[in-house]
Amino acid sequence: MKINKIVIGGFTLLLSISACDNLNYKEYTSQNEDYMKVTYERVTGLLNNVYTKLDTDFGNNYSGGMLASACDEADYAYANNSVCDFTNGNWSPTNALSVLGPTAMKPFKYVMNTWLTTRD
Amino acid sequence: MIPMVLACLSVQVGAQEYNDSLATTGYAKTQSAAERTSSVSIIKNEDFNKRSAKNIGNSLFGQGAGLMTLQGNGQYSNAEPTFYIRGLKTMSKNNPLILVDGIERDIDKITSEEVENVIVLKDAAAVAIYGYKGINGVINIETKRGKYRTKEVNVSYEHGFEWQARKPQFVNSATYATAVNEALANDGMLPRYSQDELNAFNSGTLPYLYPNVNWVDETMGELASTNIYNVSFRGGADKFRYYALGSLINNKGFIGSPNENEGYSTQDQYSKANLRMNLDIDLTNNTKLKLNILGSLMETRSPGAIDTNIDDTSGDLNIWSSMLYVLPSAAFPIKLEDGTWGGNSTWKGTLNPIAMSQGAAYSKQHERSVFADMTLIQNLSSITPGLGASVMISYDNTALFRENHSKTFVYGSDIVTSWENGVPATTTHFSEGKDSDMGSAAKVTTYKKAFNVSGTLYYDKALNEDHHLYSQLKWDYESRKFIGLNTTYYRYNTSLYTHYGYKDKMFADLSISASASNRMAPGSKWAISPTLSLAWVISKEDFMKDNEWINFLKLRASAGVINSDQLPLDSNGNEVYNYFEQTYGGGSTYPLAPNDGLLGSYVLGRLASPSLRHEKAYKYNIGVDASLFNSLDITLDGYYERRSDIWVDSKGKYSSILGFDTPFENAGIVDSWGVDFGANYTKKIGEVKLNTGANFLFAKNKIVEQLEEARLYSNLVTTNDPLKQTYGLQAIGFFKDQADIDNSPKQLFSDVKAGDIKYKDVNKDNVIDSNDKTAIGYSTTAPEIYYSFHLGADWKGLGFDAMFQGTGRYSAVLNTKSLFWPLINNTTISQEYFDNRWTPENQDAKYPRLSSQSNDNNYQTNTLWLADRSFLKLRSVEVYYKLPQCLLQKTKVVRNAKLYVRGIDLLCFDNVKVADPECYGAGYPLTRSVVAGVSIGF
Repeated sequence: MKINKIVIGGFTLLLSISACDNLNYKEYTSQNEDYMKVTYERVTGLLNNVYTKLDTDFGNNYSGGMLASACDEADYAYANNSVCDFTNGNWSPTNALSVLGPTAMKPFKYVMNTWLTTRD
Repeated sequence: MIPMVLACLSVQVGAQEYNDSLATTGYAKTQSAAERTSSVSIIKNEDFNKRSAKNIGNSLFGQGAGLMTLQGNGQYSNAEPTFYIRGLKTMSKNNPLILVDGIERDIDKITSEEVENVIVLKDAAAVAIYGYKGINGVINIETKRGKYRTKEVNVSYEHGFEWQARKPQFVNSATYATAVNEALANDGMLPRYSQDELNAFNSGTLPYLYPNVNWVDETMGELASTNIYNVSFRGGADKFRYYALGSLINNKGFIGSPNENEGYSTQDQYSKANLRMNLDIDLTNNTKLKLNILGSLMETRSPGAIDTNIDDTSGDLNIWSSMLYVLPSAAFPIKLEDGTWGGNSTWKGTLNPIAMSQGAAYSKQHERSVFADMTLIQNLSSITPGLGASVMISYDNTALFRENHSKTFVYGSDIVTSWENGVPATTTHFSEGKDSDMGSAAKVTTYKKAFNVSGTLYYDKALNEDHHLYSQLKWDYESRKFIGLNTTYYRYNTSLYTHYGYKDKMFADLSISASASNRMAPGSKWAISPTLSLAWVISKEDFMKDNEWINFLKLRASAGVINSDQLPLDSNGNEVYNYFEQTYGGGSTYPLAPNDGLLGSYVLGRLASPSLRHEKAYKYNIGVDASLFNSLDITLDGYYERRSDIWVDSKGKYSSILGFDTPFENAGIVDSWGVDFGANYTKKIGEVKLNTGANFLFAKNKIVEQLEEARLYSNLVTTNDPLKQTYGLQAIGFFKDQADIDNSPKQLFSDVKAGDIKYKDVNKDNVIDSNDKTAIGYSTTAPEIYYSFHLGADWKGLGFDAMFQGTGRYSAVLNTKSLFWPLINNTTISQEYFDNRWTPENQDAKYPRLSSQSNDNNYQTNTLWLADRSFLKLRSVEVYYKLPQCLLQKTKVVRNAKLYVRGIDLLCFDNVKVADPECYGAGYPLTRSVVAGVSIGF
């Protein structure tokens, strides 16, 4: 009977230890809205993101070609460059480039949706 | 009552489905098959332990109605099958829950010898008490236990020879050079090899400059060998039972010359030692203690390097996939004249499989595991008759250490720079790499820890002559931790299970389980899953009493809802834990800071999920269990399941005007339905005992809803198709010539030439592009039909047994590099492709023209590469002789002795032919083996 009691006692102890609530345990941290509102820098960053959706046009959207190369005054030297698509007939609904395509809509979408998701 | 049923059934020797009263299906009290209302199939040790496999998983091919066991890898240390119960049922994870003695555990260390039964739980009623984890079905591995007042010692030894079946055949160097030149010419480029060089390859007189090496044969030996030793002790006294097993498995792989180095071998090796102890102690008449411990040590070695930073072995240099499936026979010589390993700038010496298997030393992995659990069962009849309680606690721990002892070496080659009169005039020497000492990096790369506790209160009572009640309330707690982030799980499960029997004819089971998990979002952690099942034993009714040929007949039906804690999967198949939280992350920069500096930005992350439900299954099952003519057992099940609230990415639901990553929603719905069937027939004719049986599973499914985006053409719609359906283009032959190309719809993938694949314009828009893809063939993940049959006979201890297993409605996409898609990125070409390629003279070819680069037109999923993957394999065949008892009695020591020879996977009937239908990728080919064994009982 003695060993019996030790075993039962041991089980009871273990049950009481393990019965604590672990259901809220997690290992990830999420940067939520409160985190964003804490510093001025983060709020600025949130607004600044709108501008990152614009074409910065230092030759970083069309494989090195600037939008200027799409006009008659400046031909891009490499005929295969994607900026030439504006002028060589490859500009089409399936190759929308940026001016009329989805990328151009991004800043507007972004502003609208940020407003929609953060308003109270 | 129940003993009577068993008595009437016990006449059937080896009857698989009904003599299983000891198999535990998860309840505190074991139920007999007659009173079971759920769909369960039970596989016994004497049925599955015939493959001399390294572990229990690899013993289960074709076993159990409703269970799909699919083979994959041929490397001994990594060969683990994939299991599905009744096929695919969801877009998220389909893996069943695998238990060892009721606790979720890895089964790659469990030997077949230590397993008594494998219990496959299929319908809602059977998996109800497993809470969130049971949604895809449950496989419970039940280990052996001791027996009261007996004593037996069993010793067995098995020795096996394996060989690699269907090794790929690559062309010799002269053919390779011709093929490369032809491919370059097809692509409109200049040849790589001059006529002088072609002559040199043909004559073979300059083996160090123009070699011809059959890398597969030079690297791989003919045979590998396996030794399996088992010693087991089983028995007990009046109040004590034990089962103990010591097991050792040792496999030496296929590396042809592993002993070229002093002090160590570079062979592919696997060895594992298991020590198991299962004890049952009757502390008092009312208190029983169960104790199970398994300790396992595993060591594998492989030539060359392994990454000590990751657990994932896919990044390691694999001799087959990185070298033998890449290197052409013309690449470089094995060794130069001065003994340096061969290698050049196109094919580095690190691709030289012989250098890597002999001169790069070795790497090692150790795995140490302990699985321990203890159960205390207390009869509480003193409070009220029939009451009892049990408590279980378990702790499992596994750690994997990786040691990288590899070294690097110098490699080089001589390259001819000019020719004069058909002989090389000048050469340059290329040399790279350096000789290093053996490495010593070591790290723990995998660590797993699991802690389980459960408590059960049960009440088992015959209320009166007609009514019998069993009820249990079970509480489970689980904590499971793996190495890495977001890999700690806590789950609770409380289940109330009630089993009611009326006159041993009618049975009704009701389960209600409440489950919780830390993986789910706050507010949705708990879910309740109810299940109801009924059974009617018709053979017990009065009107069936006089029936001579129906020994047993039972109808079953079950229905239930099972919830799960499956998480959304991102596009890479990784689980998303914080799906319910709106997060922000860093975005790109814009030059708005002072002095044109870049200013950082923050951006809204994936939108938080609006719905927080659980993936759930509505499972329905009807079944018949029957035993006929005193010799035939049949079980037949039909099932239907609707899986709903499956997590899917909602990007198809919203227009891109949303501007953000779309949230996950509980919107997916998949229906699955099918039939599984098992039969077993045992008959004694004179001195001959015959046993035959079959299993059959037909599993269909259909995606009903997955928030698919609006498609331009109906052939691109994947909703209403099966899960993992293969999609591709429809090949309608090869372009004969330029005129044929001009007269056909334009193919936009690349510039097509004669000999390229011609596709059907499925959407009739007069151009061929990715919009012409459509459903072709079946799934490559799981077959729709899985079946097996076995046949055995025994005459005075001499007997044989053969097991066949097959699949149907199963597809393969033959995109293996070199073998089916040759020459891309300087890979080699198989003899099969070379002999069957398209040339202007061979218009009726099997494969398209050669091209020297990845050809966007030809090398994509289409019906040309699609193959029927269905097969029929002879999984095992055994011939044995059990020494006669009269002879053994004279020894007074030996109780039984069995000698046997087994053939494993000896035959394969299929349509792929050049590769194994289950393993056609660029990996280790599957092996076949012959095993001789002896088993002696004392």
